[in-house]
Amino acid sequence: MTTHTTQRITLTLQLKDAIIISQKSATEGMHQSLDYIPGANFLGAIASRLYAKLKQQTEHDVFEIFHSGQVRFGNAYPMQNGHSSYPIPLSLHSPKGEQTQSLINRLYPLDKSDTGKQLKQQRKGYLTSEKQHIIPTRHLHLKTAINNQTGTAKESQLFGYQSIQAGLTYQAHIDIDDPKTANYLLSELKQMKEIRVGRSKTAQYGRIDIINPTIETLPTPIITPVVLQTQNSSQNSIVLWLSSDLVAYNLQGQPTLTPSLQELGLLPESAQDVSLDSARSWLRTRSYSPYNSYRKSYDLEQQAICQGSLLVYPADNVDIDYLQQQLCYGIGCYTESGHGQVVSQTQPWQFIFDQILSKQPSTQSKSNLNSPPLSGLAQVLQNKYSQQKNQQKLQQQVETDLKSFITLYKSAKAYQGLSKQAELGPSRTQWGRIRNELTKQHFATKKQVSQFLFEGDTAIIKAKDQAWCAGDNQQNFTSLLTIKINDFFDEESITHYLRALAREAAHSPELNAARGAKS
Amino acid sequence: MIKVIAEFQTYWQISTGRGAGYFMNSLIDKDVHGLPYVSGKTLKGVFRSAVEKLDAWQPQSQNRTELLFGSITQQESRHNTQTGHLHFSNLQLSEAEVQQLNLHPHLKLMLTQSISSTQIDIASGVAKNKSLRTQQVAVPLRLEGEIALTDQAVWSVSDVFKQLEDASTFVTHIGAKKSRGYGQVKITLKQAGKA
Repeated sequence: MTTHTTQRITLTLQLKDAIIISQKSATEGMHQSLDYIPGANFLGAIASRLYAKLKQQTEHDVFEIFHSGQVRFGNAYPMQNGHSSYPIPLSLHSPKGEQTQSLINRLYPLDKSDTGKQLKQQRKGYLTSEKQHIIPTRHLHLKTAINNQTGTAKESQLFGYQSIQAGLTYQAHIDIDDPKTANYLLSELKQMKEIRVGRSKTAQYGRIDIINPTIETLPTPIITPVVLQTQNSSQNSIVLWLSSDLVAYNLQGQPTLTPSLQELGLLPESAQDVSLDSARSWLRTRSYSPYNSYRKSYDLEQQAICQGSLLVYPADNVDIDYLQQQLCYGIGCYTESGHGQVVSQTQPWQFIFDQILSKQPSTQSKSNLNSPPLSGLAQVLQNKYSQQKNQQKLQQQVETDLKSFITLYKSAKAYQGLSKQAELGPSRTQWGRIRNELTKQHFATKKQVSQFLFEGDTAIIKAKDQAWCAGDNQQNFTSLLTIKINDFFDEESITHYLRALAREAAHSPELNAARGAKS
Repeated sequence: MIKVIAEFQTYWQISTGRGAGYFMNSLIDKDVHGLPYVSGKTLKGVFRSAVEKLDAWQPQSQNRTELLFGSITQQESRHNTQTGHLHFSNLQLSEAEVQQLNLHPHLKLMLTQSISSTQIDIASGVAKNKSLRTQQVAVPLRLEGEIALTDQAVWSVSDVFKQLEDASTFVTHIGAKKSRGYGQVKITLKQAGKA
C-alpha cells in the first residue's frame, strides 16, 4: 500500500467582527449560533474569491479544489493562549451540582465512590492541548427595522441574533492531497488577509482576519487500540474521537447513525465488517439542511453524528495500518466541508483515555505593557472620575462629621444638666447662614476659610457667640468645627465641604432633635 | 475603504430593548469591551435612509439604494433577495482609546449617565403618576468606523464615496429619541489613503 501524504495549511483566525453561524436554517423562533465556524463557510468564502479566477486558467482544477474532497476545509475551533482545541469528548461527565475540575471518563466503568452520584455529560465547549475547557462567549442582540416615515419600529420586524463574540482567536486547517494545489492555495490565502462568513455579512458581523497561514506535511493519524471494560467484559477497542460532524451512509445509500467500519471505508473490501460497539460508544446526533448562498437554495438534509462523539469498535482483526491510512482522507461524506475528521491519538490528545481528567484553570495571558500615561479621552474621563470620587468622599466625610456634631449636642446638654427638650447649640438658622455665605464666596485654603468664619469684626462665628461656645467639658461647637476643618482631607474642596456640612446640619431632623428644637 | 467619523454633539442612546430592574428602564448597547458603540446595522440603516432621501432629490437611472444596500427585508422571498455591495462596520472609539480604557476599566463608568424624566399633567402642571422613567445614555463621543465596497463591478470606491458623502448631509441624528435632543451627530467621511 502506498503511503499517502497530506499537506496541511493552518489558519489562525482573528474574529474582527462578531460571527453569526446559525444552528438551523429556520427563519422563525429563537435563533442560536454555533460556537465554532464550519469548514463549509470557509469553503464558500474562499470559493467566492477564487472560483471565477480558477475557471479562467488550466493549471488548477476548480472541481478538484472545491468539490472532489481532495481539499478538505476543516472547522475552526477556538484557541486559548496559543493552544488549539477540539470538541470536548462526550464520554466526559461531572457530578451534577458539584464545582469540580475533575471529569469522569465514562469510557471506563464507574468507580465505587462515583456510583450513586448523578452525572452530567459535558456537551459544551472545547478542550485545549493543555486540558483547559473553553466555552466561547456568545451574545444575543435584538434588532428591529425602523419605519422611515414615522421613525418608530416597523411591525413584525424584530430579529434576534446570537453571535460568537468578536476578538476571539480560532484555528482552522485545510488538508490537501496534492502538494502543488496546497502551495497554490497557500499563496492565495496569504493575499486574502480578510474573509467574511456567516449571516448578516454586510453590516456589523462576519469579518475574519487570516493571520500568517502556514503549511506542513501532515503525518498519518495515529489510532491506538485500548482495552475498555464494562461491568461484565473487556474488549480491545478502537476509539474514534470525532473532531467534526460525521455524515455516513450505509451500503444501501441510506443515512446511518451507527456506521460500521466498512461503511466508513476504514476496512479493506475483502475484510469482515466490524459493527459499532454501542454499549461503549458515546454519540449525539443532529439533523440540518445547509443553505447554499450561491445557489440560494437548501442542500440535502444531513443526518450527522455530532463532533465530540466517540465511536468505539472492537479492534480484533482490524488492519490498523489501513485504518490509519484511510483516516487521512476523512470519513463519511462531505469531507470537502470538513466533515468526518478524527483526532489523532498522539500526545497531548491521549488524555481522552485518562480515567479521570483534571481540567486546568483557564488563564488569560496578561499584557506585559506598562500602562502609558493617560491622554485625550482617557485623561478627560480620569478628571471626571477623580471629581466624582472626591465628591463621594466629601459626602461621606460630611455624614461622619455630622454625627460628631449630633453627639456634641447631646453631651453638651448632659454636661450642663439640661433636659433633652432644652435648646442648646447653633440653630438651624445659624447653620444656614454659614451655608449662604459660603455659596457667595470660595476659599482656596483652610486658613482663609477659618479667618472668614472665626476672625475679625465680620466673622460669621463670633468668639462670644453663646450658641457656638456651648459644649461639654472637652470641646465646644467652635472648637469642634475648627478640628473638622483642620482634619479635612482636601484643602481645595474645603469650601464645598463646609457648604455641604452646613446644608446637612440645617436640614437634619436628627440634629434638630438633638438640639432640642421644636419641629 | 471609506472611513466614517461620527462626532456626537449631545447625549445619545442605542437601546438594547432591555432594562435593569426597577431603577433603569432602558440600557444602552455596549461592545465586547463594555464601551458604548453604534452597531454596523444601525449605521447601515441610517445611511440607507439618507441615500433614499438623496434619491428623492437626485433620482438615478439604476436603483442605487438596492444595489448598495441590498433588497428590503420581507419584500422579496428569501431566495430572491440581493446582497448589497457595501459592508458597514461598527462605530467605536479608536483603538488607542479602547486600549487605554481597558487598562483603566474604572473610567468606562464615566462614559454613561442616567437620565430620569417624567410626564407633566397639562391640567395640573405636576408630574403624572407612575410616569417616571430612567434611561441610560452615552456621553458625547467621537467614534470611528469603516464602509467597505465588496464588489467593484458596478461602482468604484471614488463613486461610492461621492454618493455617500452627499447622503451623509442627511444624517443629523443617530439612535433613539432624536426628536428629544438625543443623538445629534456630525458625520465626516474620508477615503482611505487620501487626506
